[in-house]
Amino acid sequence: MSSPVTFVRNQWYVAAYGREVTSEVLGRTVCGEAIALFRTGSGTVAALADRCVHRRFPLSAAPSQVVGDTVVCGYHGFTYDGTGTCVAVPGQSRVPRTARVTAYPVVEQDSFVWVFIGDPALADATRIPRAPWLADEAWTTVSGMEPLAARWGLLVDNLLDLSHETYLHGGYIGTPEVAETPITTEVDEEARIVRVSRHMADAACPPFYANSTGITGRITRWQDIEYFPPCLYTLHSRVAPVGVLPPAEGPDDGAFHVEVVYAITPSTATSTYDFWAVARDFARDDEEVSRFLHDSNRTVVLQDVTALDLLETVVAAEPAGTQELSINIDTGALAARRMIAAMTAGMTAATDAAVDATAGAAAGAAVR
Amino acid sequence: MSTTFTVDWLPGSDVLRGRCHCGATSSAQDPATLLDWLGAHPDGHDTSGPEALLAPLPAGVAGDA
Ligand code: FES
Ligand SMILES: [Fe+2]
Ligand SMILES: [Zn+2]
Repeated sequence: MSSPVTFVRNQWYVAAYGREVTSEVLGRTVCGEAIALFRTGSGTVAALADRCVHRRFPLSAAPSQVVGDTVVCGYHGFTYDGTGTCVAVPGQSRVPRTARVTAYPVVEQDSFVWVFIGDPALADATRIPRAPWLADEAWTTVSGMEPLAARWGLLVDNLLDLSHETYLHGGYIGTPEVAETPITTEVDEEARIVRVSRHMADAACPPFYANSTGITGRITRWQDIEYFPPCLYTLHSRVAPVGVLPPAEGPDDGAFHVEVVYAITPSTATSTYDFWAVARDFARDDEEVSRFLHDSNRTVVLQDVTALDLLETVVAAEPAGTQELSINIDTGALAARRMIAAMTAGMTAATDAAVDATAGAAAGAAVR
Repeated sequence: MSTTFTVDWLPGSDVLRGRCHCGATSSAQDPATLLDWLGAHPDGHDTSGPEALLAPLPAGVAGDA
């Protein structure tokens, strides 16, 4: 069978958009852990293990409900506060001391609800990567989430190699120049960031940008990816009439800027939440542009979903270690796989070369 | 100290050029080979001599362009 899927623990993951978490309990599975998310009466987000300690009924399933700052299990009424402590049980006044469910560290930031999967003592909120545009009034954002019936690594591969835009997304965001233009890859092993840049000096303008910016001719198109493994991917996209470069100083007024953000959240071994957002600094009050960018990006994401769901059925049926072939366009994705393998092994390759010796046999096949 | 390395795809060629944070450089035509070398720092990283060539390049391609 195919290579086993591993999750990187002791990391922050996006479980939802803040707008999705209300006084209706939302169930999400992150890295194989079932989580019940809800907003308490006081407005804060709580993330509890989605299994009642009594008879394991999911707290996210009806008729479980939020009452004030607590959630009441829909089966027999065990009542939990936002820390997971059971504060009431039916029929008796004594609440067993062991009556509690796991509470996940949770942070609401940049329009996302982040949860920490792993040892809560290691949850450092300052290590959550940022996507500030999504909650910044100077930008207008459209966003959504599509579930993927594929392992999360396939989405990492997909997003780190944008040459696929030319083929899979031709007529939407792809043009011949994307696949033709060489990339630069930069790996910061300590900060754990993989950067991939592709600067197209003279390229056709795909409908995604032509219709949103109004540019009619050819463009100078820059794609600068910053990936913060495992979960957050940002693409800084700069589009300008051909030849228009940023000024030596002052604002880059001659260009259109789009920040494309993905949160790659593993759900089960073979399913993934594909959160996507597109923020722009132009036509900010134009709802037609918002609708167009929303619908176009969702279409593009669904093209990826179709391809990756198919790919999952292929790799799931193949023996572990089935040979792939990598070429220059894959440099960023290979670098990301290696960083993820090193994080899974609990250390970076930079700090301990022994990771190759010990984990090499297992990781070696996976990271090529 | 910086822990950043870079891989540049030399324009107009199929050659990838890696530069380690220690200053050592190397070229290859296969990203996995180059990433192996970069990840192995400091093994095989020599900043004094000419750059390592990890695999034969086609005729007419300079390793240290
Ligand atoms: S299962 Fe939740 S109260 Fe019985
Ligand atoms: Fe895509
Ligand atoms: Zn080195």
